[in-house]
Amino acid sequence: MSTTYGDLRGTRDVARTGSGTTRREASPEQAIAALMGLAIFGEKVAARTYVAMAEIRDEHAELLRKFAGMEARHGASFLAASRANGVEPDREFADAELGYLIEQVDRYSAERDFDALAILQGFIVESLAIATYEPFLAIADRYPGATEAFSTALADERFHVDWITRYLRLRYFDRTGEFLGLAERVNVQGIDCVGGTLMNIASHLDQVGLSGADCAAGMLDGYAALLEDVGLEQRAALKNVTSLFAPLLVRYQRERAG
Amino acid sequence: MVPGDPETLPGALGAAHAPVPGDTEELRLAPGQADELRLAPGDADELLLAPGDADELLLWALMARFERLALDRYVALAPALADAGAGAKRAWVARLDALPTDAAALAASPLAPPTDALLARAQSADETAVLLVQGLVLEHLGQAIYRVAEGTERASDASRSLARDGLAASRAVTAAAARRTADAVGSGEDLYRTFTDHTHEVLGALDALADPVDAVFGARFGLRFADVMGEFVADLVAAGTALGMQRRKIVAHLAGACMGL
Repeated sequence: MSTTYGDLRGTRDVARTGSGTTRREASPEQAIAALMGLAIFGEKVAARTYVAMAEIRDEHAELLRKFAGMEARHGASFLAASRANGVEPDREFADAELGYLIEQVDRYSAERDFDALAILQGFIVESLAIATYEPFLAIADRYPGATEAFSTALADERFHVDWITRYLRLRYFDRTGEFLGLAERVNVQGIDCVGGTLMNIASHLDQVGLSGADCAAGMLDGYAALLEDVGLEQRAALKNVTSLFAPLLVRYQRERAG
Repeated sequence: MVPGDPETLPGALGAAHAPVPGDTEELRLAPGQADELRLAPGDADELLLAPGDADELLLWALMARFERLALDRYVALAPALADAGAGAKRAWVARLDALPTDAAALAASPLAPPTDALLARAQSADETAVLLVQGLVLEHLGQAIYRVAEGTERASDASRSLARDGLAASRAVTAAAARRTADAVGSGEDLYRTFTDHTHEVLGALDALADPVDAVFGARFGLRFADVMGEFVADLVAAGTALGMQRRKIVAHLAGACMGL
């Protein structure tokens, strides 16, 4: 199954900072406020999602509640680092970005679709986190306290991804076709949602000295590699993920030019 | 072979067109000679494309523009690619030229402006540019289009067969291009730097094709820009890593170019 440019267009708005300015107009201060807002409240959503997963699978509940606790601590440490640097997180921006993700999480939770949540949170959302936290560490010393907060979070996110990968590998051992079907199903909205968020922060990332394009590539390639780790062939993984990212990239270029 | 006689073209539609070793020798045309191979009105009856398949003919008119430029650049600056696969690209261009496509229809379509813009950025002026822009990027883009077209059940058998043969011709070129690129341009990090320098503009022009491709071909036979891009990137990454470039860096270059950065 593939999703098209036309299917996805218009599902998201152009990102705006809390003050209502579009991302192309954001100052460096507005950009870091938006990024920190997304990181802080995104970690809270991640905690909520792992709790939802724990409520579906008793056998993994204890571990997943620990994951939720780790995510909540990330949010708290990001908030402390943010305030220590005089950055007030842009909650309005974060809410606008995270609403679409929360809707998808809530739907899978209601359907008790654990594996869809595993891919959405454990792969797609974590890929976004890793793709941004990792390069941010290179400039984090500009913000006292940020290096420790983000390096801890990055290590934890990688641990979560490793567990999800192992879970999916065991569950879909010798059932790669079924796994591909699951990934394609989740990706349609998941990449539009989370990848769309990455596009919406790309210029903010540029503003604070990172590369939005490199982060986008990190998420696209990182997520495709995770699907490969579970058993998909490189071609199938890249093809599916790229076909869903392509409309986002095109839309970004147009909005940037427009 | 009698110029203008489609029966003698190994690739003529409706004929068994798998190249036979030696046959393509006859098809090594000088630039401009391809005009002699155009079918006369009425000869189109021999073609399997139904007269009402204007959208399909538009696809082949579009591909012909890309393929003619590629062949022209290969003949001028990278002869190993023009000769690859016993002249597979020459035969393929001759075959496209023999189709009853309507250049005016293409020029009047929404595909024309972005195609013009893309091809204007692909006027490779030296062998390195030809190897990277045509031999790597645009050949893999073409392969992506052919693969999607071949796989869609809503296309006619004739178009699917054409797509299959276009794919085979392109694969012969990309294999030769990879060898020549390794010899003439290098591999690994050095190649990556040259690759990004030469291909950024072309990759940055792809986005303008999104809406026209979806509008013209999407509804008609399921050929959509996003699917083509998925195929294209998967292939280009495989080809690039085979030449020693880092996968993540290739993806970053593609993403940056497509984002207009």
